[in-house]
Amino acid sequence: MIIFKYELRQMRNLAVAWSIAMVVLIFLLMPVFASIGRSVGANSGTQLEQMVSGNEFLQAVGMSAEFLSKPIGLYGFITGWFFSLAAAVLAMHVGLSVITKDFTGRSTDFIYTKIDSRGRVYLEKLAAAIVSVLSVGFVYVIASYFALEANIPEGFDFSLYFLLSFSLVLLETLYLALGICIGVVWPRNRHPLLLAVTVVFITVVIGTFATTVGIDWLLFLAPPKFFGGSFIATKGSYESKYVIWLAFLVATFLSIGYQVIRKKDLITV
Amino acid sequence: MGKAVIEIESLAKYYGKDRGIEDVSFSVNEGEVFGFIGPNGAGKSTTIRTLMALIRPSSGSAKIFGKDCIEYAPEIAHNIGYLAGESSFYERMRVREFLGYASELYGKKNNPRIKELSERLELDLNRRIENLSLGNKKKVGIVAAMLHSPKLLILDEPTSGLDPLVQQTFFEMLTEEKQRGVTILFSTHVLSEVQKICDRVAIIKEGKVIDIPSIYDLRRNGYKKVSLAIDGELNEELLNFHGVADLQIHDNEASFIYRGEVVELLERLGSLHLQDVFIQEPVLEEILLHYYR
Repeated sequence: MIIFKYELRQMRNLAVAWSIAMVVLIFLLMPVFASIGRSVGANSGTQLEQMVSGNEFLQAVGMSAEFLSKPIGLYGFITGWFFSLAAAVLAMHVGLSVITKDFTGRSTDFIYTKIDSRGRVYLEKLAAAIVSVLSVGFVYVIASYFALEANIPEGFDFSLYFLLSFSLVLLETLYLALGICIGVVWPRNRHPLLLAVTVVFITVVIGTFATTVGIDWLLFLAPPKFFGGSFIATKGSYESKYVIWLAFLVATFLSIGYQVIRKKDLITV
Repeated sequence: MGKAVIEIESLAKYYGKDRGIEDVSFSVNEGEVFGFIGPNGAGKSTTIRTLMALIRPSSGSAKIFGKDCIEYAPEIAHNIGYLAGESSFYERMRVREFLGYASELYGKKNNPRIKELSERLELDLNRRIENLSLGNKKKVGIVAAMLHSPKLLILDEPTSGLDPLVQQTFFEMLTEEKQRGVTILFSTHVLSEVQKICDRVAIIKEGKVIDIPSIYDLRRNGYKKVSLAIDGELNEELLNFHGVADLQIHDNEASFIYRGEVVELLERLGSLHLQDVFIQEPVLEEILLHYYR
């Protein structure tokens, strides 16, 4: 596990910086959104509620007026449409760069010529990326619990909170796997962050478009739409078809990455 | 003659339609220092990167220690020290951390060889790799290649960037490794380097090995680049003797590549009314020109 240890060490600062940023932001944003939720809830039937209920943007992002009238609902909104997307960008960036950095930095001749097989190098890099990225996700899950505790004195549904926050971790896993797969297939990419932002943005656009136009199958190409807050609030669970699809995609991306790296010519930039 | 440590047979590698190498065959015997010389782009690094299983050959085979170098790459790697021609390392690491990492990848923690080799090459272990000069980065690569005391050293352009004093130390280190029985494959485009240390040399041009002379033969052939000026007019007949190639004449000045006995060359030149003469080692491309004449 030497490669795992050293890769993790190289990612440490990035993971710590993102964790701190997400903790600070959830503690800054939660009081604001909790208060908005209370306002909407307290003005049931008023112009404010009507405005929220008729908002096409909120419908497009999968939020209902009822859900958004509660502080936990607004927590779901900011988790799904702010923190999850940021975490997705981080995950994809880490997934891409853990592979591409050796090609663009010309260290393939160092890391892939030692006594570990290519498959082993890949798996240890993958493990380091998973630990690094998911630690950021779990820090967010824990920090947001305390942020909710502090800002919703009347209490909240724990299982709802957990499903909403854990969706961020699931999305991270998917984008990490996608990043690693693309990194292996296109290893000489010099701009992994730009690519990560672009891919996440495209999936958001696809999801919003699919919801607005009503093309359900297109939602399978839009991971940010897999874990809609309103559905979770109504059913108390994730949509099983998307969970299964996500698991399938993760397994597929990681398998492709593993198979390709074992056979590929390792040519640096 | 020892058993073959490296065996390459009709190795070819194409990148789509582009040629990497076309017909590379040679073997390196145990304990031998084998030079691999050719101009830039001739296919030296492609051959070496195939040996290191970084790229897969289009056809042909390559074996190290009798095992296929692609299939058994991790197993073979235990006994190979590899210095890449253009590789770089993790820039943000300090030299000590990087070399510790390299050593741990071979299962050796707290390796005393790191200190020993670094002191020998005067390498500062506390500096960040990103702050090192090209020469110092090369030193890091040399230490990383040798720290696990491999039985085979594969060195791709190891001296580029090293100053002459460090080059001298490096050649002393290689000589010591040779005395310990280590086999060395040494790639370069500098002829004097292979003449200094190698037993045999494979000359590669445009993806093909065109000759594998011993260093004795190479020296005896005595490639020289001669530039001269005479008092009077020069014509081709004056310099048209055996061993002369690539003859160029401008007024009373001439230059050519000479392959043969130096004594004979001096005798010939002595018969001319020389104003000036300059005899030097030709660059590799000039020798390769001679190979086709």
